[in-house]
Amino acid sequence: MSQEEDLPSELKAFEAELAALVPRADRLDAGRVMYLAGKASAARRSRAWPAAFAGMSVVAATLAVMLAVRPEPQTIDRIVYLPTSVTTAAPATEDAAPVAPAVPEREAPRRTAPPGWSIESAVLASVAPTPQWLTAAEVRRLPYPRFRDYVLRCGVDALPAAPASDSPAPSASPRRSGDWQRFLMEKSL
Amino acid sequence: MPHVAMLVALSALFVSLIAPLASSQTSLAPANPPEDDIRTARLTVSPADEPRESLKYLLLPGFLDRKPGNAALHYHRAIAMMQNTNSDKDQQTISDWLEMPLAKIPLKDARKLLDGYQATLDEIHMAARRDECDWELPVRESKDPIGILLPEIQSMRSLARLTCLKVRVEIAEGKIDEAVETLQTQLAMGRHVAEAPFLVSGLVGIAMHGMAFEQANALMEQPDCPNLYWALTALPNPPIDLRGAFEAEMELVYMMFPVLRDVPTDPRSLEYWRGFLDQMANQWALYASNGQMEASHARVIVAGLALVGYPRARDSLIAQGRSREEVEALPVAQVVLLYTSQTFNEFRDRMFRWFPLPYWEAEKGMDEAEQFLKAESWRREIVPVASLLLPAIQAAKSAEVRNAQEVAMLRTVEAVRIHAARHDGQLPDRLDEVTEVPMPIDPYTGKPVAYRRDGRTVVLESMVLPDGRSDHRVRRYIVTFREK
Repeated sequence: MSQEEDLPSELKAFEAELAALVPRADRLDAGRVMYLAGKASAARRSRAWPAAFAGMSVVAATLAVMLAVRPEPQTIDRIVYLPTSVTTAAPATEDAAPVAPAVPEREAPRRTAPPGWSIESAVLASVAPTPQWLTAAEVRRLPYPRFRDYVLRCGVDALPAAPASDSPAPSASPRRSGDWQRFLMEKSL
Repeated sequence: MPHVAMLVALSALFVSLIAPLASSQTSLAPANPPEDDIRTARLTVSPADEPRESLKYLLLPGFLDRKPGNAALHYHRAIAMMQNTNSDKDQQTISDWLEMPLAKIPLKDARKLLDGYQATLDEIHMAARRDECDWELPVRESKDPIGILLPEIQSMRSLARLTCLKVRVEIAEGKIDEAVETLQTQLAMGRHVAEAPFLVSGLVGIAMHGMAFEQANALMEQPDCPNLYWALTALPNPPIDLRGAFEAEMELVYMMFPVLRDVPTDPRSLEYWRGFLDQMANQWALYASNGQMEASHARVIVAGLALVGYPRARDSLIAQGRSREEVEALPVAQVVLLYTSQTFNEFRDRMFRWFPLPYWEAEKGMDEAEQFLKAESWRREIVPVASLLLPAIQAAKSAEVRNAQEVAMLRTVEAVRIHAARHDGQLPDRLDEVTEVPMPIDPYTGKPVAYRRDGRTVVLESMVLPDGRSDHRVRRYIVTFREK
């Protein structure tokens, strides 16, 4: 033993306490230390995607509930008037004869109002913007309450026009009752 | 996990984009219609005082111009004559000329066409000057009311078109007195058509009046047109009264289901009630399905409805004061039919009671009655009858009022013409400055029409809605006044 200097009494007590200490072998885990070190060194993780996911999930759930509880779609009756022109009359002038008009179909369903009448009303359903006028044959088959409701909804313009005479027009139409008598006598001869 | 969360978030985004589009397909509600949808007439008129003989001009045939007799006979003759001479080509030509501006109508050709129908026009003239019009339609007896009604309506519309062309030609030729006389014929025709006991006939008559009032607009634009204020005032108010038609419509269910009219209250045999219910089922199938349902299917349906609804019918009769023993002793069919008749009457009366009132008093009640029918009929009716047969009463009432509205607007224009004539051509800034003649009220609101002036143009509006919205009731006249 080397020559030791005698320690002061207070240091001797401290020396004794240090000598009594026993290091704990289980407090240090090298692997864990390395792991924690690596974790601490990684970049901070973004919370944007979780927030977006949560937000959109809430939106989608809300819309799904609204879709499920929405009221029945309403048919909006919308009255459309087609203006007929009203202008100041000029002095009577001789005009060229009108172009011969096309013969209208009698039975085809009309999608526009017959000329000469202002449209009283037309139903514009949200899914069927074109008024569904019926043909003469279809109108004829309706029971009266449905016929009435059809006219109330679609207006009198939706009624089929009267059929014109099937026989050709006579070349000279009688004008007076005396003319009719002569006309009938001629026809009977 | 991060990948799964990302996929779920993308899916949620997709759904949130698609869902509004999907819902918009079937719950489309149009925004307020644009102002262009307002029915608007544009006129240019001259100031004109009332005639010295205030009632020189009338818009319906006067007492001495009318003769006793039934107008319907003459209309039928006119229809027969027209069918003998009419052709598809003529129909199209008439329609084209009705659409054409007055100045462009080829007057020589139009006169030639009208001459070809002179006999028809003479007959119409006579018909319009008969004291009465009884179409004698066997509506209470016939099983096919439309078969009776439709040909009459179709033919009268053709006559109306022809008469309308005559008015236009006379206006274009400057023949004011003849044009007024033909307007008398047109308005009388419309009233005669509406005499038939059907709402549809009334609507056709009102449409004919609409055509006539359009021609009145054209007439008023003529520089030398006399003031028609008192002629318009002398018209009945409303010009076509639908009360007669509504009286018939109220009883329609008993025309369609005669079995409901007198449901016996005394005990009858089971066979009797079985036959009763079968009749009801047959008629119900006809009107509920346009005759496409088999009668046997209809009987099964009605019998099933009766069985399911019997407790409700029984409890209702007991609640009215009958004893439980008495009601339970009655056959199921009798209890159900009594309940059906009572329930129909309740729904019907709830709607029809508003019809005699002015529109502004009746509007809310009619709306509530229609909502009540929609909301309660499925719950309270055992066999749906009210929901099948009752008309859209508000639409029908509005048609009648719209006709009266036209007269009110024209009277207002004529009143301003009088004011301008007496004030050296000056137009009033407000309608209450017109004190020469009474101002008409708007039949929709019970108040004078809205009025504003901008220089030589005045704008009249009837049934102005809040927020500038428009619907079929709003009517506007934009009238430009020539200098004195």
